[in-house]
Order: sequence, then structure tokens, then C-alpha cells
Amino acid sequence: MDDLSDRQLARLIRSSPVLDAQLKAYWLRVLPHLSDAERVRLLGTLRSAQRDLQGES
Amino acid sequence: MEPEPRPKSSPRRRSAPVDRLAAVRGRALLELSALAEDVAAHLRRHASPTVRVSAALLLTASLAACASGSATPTTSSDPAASDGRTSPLQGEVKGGLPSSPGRYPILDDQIYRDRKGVFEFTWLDDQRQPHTAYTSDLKFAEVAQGANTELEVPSGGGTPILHLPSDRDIKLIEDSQAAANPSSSYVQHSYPWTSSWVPFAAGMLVGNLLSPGVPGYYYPPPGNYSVGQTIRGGSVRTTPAPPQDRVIGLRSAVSGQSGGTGAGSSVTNKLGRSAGTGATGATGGTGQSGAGSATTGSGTGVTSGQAGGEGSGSAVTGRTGSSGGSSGVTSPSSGGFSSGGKAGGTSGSSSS
Repeated sequence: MDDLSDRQLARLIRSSPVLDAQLKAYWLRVLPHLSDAERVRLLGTLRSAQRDLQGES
Repeated sequence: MEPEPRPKSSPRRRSAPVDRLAAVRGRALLELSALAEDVAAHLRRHASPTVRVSAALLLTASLAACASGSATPTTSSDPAASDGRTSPLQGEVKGGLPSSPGRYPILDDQIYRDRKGVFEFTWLDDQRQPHTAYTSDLKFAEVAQGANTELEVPSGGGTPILHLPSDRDIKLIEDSQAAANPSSSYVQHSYPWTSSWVPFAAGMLVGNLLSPGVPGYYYPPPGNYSVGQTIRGGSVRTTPAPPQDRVIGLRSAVSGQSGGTGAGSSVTNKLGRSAGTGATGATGGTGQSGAGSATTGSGTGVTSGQAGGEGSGSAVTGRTGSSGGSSGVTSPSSGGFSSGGKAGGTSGSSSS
């Protein structure tokens, strides 16, 4: 549940290679207002993308 | 014979990193756009307008990113577009139009205009069968709100005329796929569009040679439009504009000066679900307001130019709108692709 904190998610958003600056800004703006389910989905998508990109080497 | 010396490093063969990144981005963006849709749905009634706007902007930006297939929405298949320099048409293009003169119903929610000025739409034949057509040579004629949208093909091979209700908007897209795939088997699909354009603005025809309802060549105001904007008005001519004057830019980056309302348009994403929210653009930007002035062309075929004539702001990036309007496209003596637009133009005349 710690990973679902605003701070952790914000860090993920900022470091995500799949989001451009504009999308990062928008996600950061709505982040405090996301439900738990939405946070889980966001976390899953961003982590999955990072894994896919890092796992290829 | 001595063998050639081997290079010091022999790079291993690996999958193209760019392709992989694009594939991962595409998947992630699709998931995130679905998530953005849910977020926008539940935040659209948030007490804070800032949150509501942010959610709406997130949704439109997510869909635009999906549409471009990249995490960097300014990247597109046309490199020139990323810095706003879309190459203009080299000649009029058309395809799929009715072969017989007459009036044909048009599907309202599938009328598009791309950056270069190619229109794409679906018309119905006598048996109500849909056909996709595209053309860069198209006139508009304003009809009353609530009237049907129709395509008129004049007898004698003149420029087709789109009879469009005064409040109807046209979706702005990057590139017409019908024009890119000029085969008879192409079937129009729903574009994840970025902005919309309402060609007819109150006061636009004041002082012009064209009376309301008389067909003319309508163009959105030149500029770079952001996701979620609704652009109203522009310029109207009696002869086609030069190709470079038809080009508009479509950028996903929000200028922060979106002004106007920009609302009232539902966004349909690739998953076919309507979000029902457009960018409200209510950030207090510097969109144009006021009636503006309509300049009557003097023998050049240009009849007016006004953007944002309804006072709600046309949200054209970079325009300060101090006078409430920009001057219309002033045409050189030649217009379109023909040897020259007729001086002064004749209302309703079809151009060569």
C-alpha cells in the first residue's frame, strides 16, 4: 500500500519513459484525487512498462 | 592473402530499441487512456474546477497520445508537423464523391478536415449506403440549425458544396486516411480527433459579398491548435485559397491560453467509448473575443476574415485578440491551384 502513496506514484510518473512531459503534468495534477483502484491500475501500467523496457537486455 | 582485420568490437544483433519503446509505449498509452477515461468520468463532478479541467485535459491528451501512437504527441508521421510546418498540398485531391449531380445526406459526426485542408466525410446514396469521400476542393453553405447536413454535387462538374447547419462543427485531424488510401475499398473509421472547428461564426459575414447561405470557401484561422479546442469562424472566400494558406497546425501541447469555452464536444476514444467531456479550456486565456472586423476584399476574391466572432474566444494560440478578430486571408491575385482566382470573385461561383 506504501507504493500507492502520492509520493511513490509521483516518482513513478516522473520517471516513466512512456509519458511525455505534458502527460506527466496532467497525471501529477489528478494524482491526489485518484481512487485506490485507479492508483492500482496506474501503478500496474507504469511498472509493467518499465519492466518491459528494462527487461530487454 | 591475409584476411581483413576484424573490427575491434562486433556489436551483437539486438532488437531495435526504438521499435520496442514504441510498442511498449503504445500498450501503456492505451491502458492509460482507458484509465484516464474512468478518472475523467468520476472527477467531472469534482467541486474544484481546476480538478475538473485537469481531468478533462488528461483525457484528451491521453487520447491524442494514443492516436499518434507515441508518448510524445508532437511526433507524427509527418516530421514537418512536429514543428508546425506541414507541407501544403501540391494539387487539389478528391475521391469517392458521388458521380451524379444531386444532394446527398452526410453523416454529421464524421466530417473531418486535416491539416492540409482535405475534407473527409461519409455520404449516403439512394439506398442509404454509406460511401467515404475526400476532397480539398469544397465549398460550404450555411443552413439553419437543425437542418440536415447535405452534400450538393452541382451539375456541370462544379465544386461540391457542403450544406452545413450553422452550429455544426467539423473535426480537425492530422491527415485524412481516405486521401492517403485512395482506393474504393477504403471505409471511413472514427478518428480520435483533436479539436473541432465551427466554420460559421456570428457576424462573420457582416459586410461581406457573400450573403448567408451562399456557398463559399471557408478556412479556419491559421495557427496551431491544441487538443480540445473549439475554433470558431475564420475566413471565407469566393475563390480557393493558396495551398499554403490552408495549412493549420495541430499540437497536443496545450498552450495555456486556451480561452473561450472549448466545450461541448464529446471525445470518443479508440475503445469506442464516449467520455462526454471535452477540454473546457476555461483557464482564462487570451482567446479572442469581441465581434472583430470583417474586411471586405477589394477585387481579390477575399470577402472577410474574422476569428472568434462570437465573443467566446476562438482560442487561437498566440493571438491577443485586442481587436477581437484577425483579418482574413488576404489573397494574392492567384488562388488555389488554378492560374488565378477571379478578381472580386462572384458569389457562389465555382472555381476552376
